Amino acid sequence: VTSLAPNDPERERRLKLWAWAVIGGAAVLGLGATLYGVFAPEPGEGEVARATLPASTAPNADPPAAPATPAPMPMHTGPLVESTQAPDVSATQRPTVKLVFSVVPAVKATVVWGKHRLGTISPRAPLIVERPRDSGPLDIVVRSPGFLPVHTRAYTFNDTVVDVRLTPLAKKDTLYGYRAPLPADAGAPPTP
Amino acid sequence: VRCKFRFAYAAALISCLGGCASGGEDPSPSNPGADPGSIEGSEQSALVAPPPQEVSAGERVLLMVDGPGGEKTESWISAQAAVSQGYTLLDLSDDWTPYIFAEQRDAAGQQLPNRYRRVFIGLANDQLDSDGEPLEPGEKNYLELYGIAPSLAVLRERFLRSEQETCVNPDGHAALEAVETVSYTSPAQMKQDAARVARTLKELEAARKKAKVATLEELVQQQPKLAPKLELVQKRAAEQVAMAEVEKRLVCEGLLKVAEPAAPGARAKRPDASLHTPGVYDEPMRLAVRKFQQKNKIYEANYLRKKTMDALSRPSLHNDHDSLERVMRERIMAVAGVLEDGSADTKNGPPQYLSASGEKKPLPNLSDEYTQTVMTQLGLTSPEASLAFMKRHGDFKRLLAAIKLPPRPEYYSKHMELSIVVDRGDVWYDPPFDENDKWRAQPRSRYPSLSLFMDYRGERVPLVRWRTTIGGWRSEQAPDGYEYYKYKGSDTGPRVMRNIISGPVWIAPESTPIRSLAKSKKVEGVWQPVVNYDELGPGYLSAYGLVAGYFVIPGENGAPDQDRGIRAHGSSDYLSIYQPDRYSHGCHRLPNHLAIRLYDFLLQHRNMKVNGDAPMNFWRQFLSGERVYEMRIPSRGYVYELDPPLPVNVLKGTIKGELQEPIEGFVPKPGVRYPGPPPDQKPAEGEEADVVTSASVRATTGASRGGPL
Repeated sequence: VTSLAPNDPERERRLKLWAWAVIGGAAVLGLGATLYGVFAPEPGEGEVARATLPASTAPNADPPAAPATPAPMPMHTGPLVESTQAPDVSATQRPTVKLVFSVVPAVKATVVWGKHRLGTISPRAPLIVERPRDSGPLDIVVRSPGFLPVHTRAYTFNDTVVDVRLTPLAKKDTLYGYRAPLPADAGAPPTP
Repeated sequence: VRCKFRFAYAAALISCLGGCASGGEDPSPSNPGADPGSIEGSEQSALVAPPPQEVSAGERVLLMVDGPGGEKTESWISAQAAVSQGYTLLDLSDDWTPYIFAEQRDAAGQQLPNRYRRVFIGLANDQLDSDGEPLEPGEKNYLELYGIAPSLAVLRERFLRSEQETCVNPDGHAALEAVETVSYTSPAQMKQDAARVARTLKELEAARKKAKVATLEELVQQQPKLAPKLELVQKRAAEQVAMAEVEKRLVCEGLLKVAEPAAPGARAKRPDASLHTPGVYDEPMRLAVRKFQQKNKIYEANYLRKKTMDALSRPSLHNDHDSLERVMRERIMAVAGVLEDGSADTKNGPPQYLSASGEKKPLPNLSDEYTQTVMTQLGLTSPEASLAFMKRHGDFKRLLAAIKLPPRPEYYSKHMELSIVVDRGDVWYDPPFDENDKWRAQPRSRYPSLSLFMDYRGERVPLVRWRTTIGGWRSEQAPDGYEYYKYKGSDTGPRVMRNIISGPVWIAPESTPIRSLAKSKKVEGVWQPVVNYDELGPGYLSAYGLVAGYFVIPGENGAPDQDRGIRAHGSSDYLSIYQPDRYSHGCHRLPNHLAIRLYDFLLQHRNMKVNGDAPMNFWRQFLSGERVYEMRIPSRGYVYELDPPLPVNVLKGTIKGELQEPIEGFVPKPGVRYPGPPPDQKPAEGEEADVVTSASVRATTGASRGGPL
């Protein structure tokens, strides 16, 4: 280690380098923290947030099991309603079922069940809700800005994936049930 | 050791239980009609209670015995002893279901759960709603009219309430008895109707004064042509008094709430739509009458007709007793595995079968015979005796009763030669409106029927014959989003029934009018629009009711069956079955309770296997307003497979009217504006548009083109 005199130009150059290094590091840390704040999952979202609804709403159901290690995400490749594969014995014995909500296209969406906001589906992580087994269906509404709201249902007979297709507001004419407006002369008798 | 066994194997297992059957209780009643040497006697152990109900080895069951004074007293006997002594175990527990919803197991003993079983039990016990969610406290289901009879716990509550409050007003009883019906006058027409009656009365009074007689009756004697007018005035007067008594009765039963009259000088409040205005047949009144009819299984379309008025004039305890008898009837018929209910009788009496001895015997009405036998055995012979029975039993979480059933007729066996015949009766293919788009009547004198036949000793004998439906003109949604008429006929010819599905789901085709596929529902305290799963199922309100048998054309040489979508199924829409001008979309509907009886019977007397829940991967979206609705159907229902399949034949019936074949394609509805021709009549490119505006033009167009009509 070589000591440098206070007015030595080399010493001043090194000090400036250190100062820039500290400022740069702080900036990187700050940016990282900001980005984390923006993109980190919100409570009630994705794998980390698991909404367990009050069991009191379901009669005759066993109390929900204590939160355990999150189960691996069920595989789903399309608009799958319920697994048609042979049920896993351990899964059928659980007193609760897992309901996995996701949307296509992958955008941020909220899921509401009556007055309860169940949580948010993010582009990268579905919403997982746990409910007492066979405690009746959940009639939910999935909303996302720029898309028509979708009223759908999740069943609690067994583990279920609810993969909801969202339709942009401008494309509602692609949906079944769309009625073209009547032209002004509709219903006029045919011209002879 | 808890040893569980199925009744069907009870005899074999009793021996494994080490003489449980030989000791213990010695029930006194003997089998009144038992013939140990009969065919039935030899099969009884195999046929009794085929539902796989499970009984624990040491379980004790109720046995009513004759006391010294001839009165019935309760005793208890082990299940094994009861079965070994020829008793049938009648399940009176709250978790009873018909066979179609019973807990089934596969060959390996694994349980095959039925998704709808829990909901069925919850509905019968006033615990759940049709979605399987909890009922609001104090809310009642009253679903017997739709095929879900109340549990005995629910009936017990009714009996205890009726003991406190008979709901009969001694002073008003005569008023109810005085009228057979109460004419329906809509709230909008009430003033008009009252004015008409007042005018008529004024006319009569004027005529009386002119004729110088003392009473209107004397006037009518003098001038008989005035009799209808007097009848109208008197009928309305009697109905008004009866209506007031009906209101009191419905309030007493807890089915109607009446709006309090506003205090003089008080500020007028906005009327509460849920409260009834006295004297008016308003919506709360209509709903209360409907609930009363549902509670008492009366098919009278929400009006105060004869059966409804009769039930309203009876003490509630008597109605409760009748309810108990109906509930017991379904359970008795299920456990006995019988179906004959007298419905196949003609004006010449019951059908006859050729017995083994060569003599002709009349087909018995086992529904009545067995029900009366069991009600007597259990001492349930009067409303008071039934009330006493209910009071003796604190609850019905688990209660089995040992009963002795008379032997079944000789034609019974494990696998009976059965077949279904649907007679379409009178059939109209003509559109129900004329060339000016005016509705025209299409009367029928022969209505469609569904019969279950038995082949026995070379003869075909109908066991039951019930009214059913055939298809007709129905609204359909075309791809342009507009509704048209379309003829939805019932296929004719030989078919088979291979599958029976309990808790079936109806997959609404895209042509289903959107308006019927969405509804409003209270979800977690908030009203929100939802897909109308009531219509899709599973459920008592669904298009296929609680159970359906699927008609198919059997595939030959390994080809798959051809399914044209026709089923014989349960339905809550009983008016479509019993009203003269109603039709289905082609299916053959039965009231839910009869459909349950039919399929319970078939599954117990035909070789079959239980396939269990049939999961499916179905979803579809549709637009209504600015919302997307997504129907999701996770299961087709619970499948039983008949092997061999059941033969079915649908007879053509009598074609009425001009058209001998149905019109194909969409027919515009009279008075509806459309954006152009129906989608199936769009002109090819270069052709001139030919906008068809009425059904008659559509029919003519088809005829002139030589197309099918």
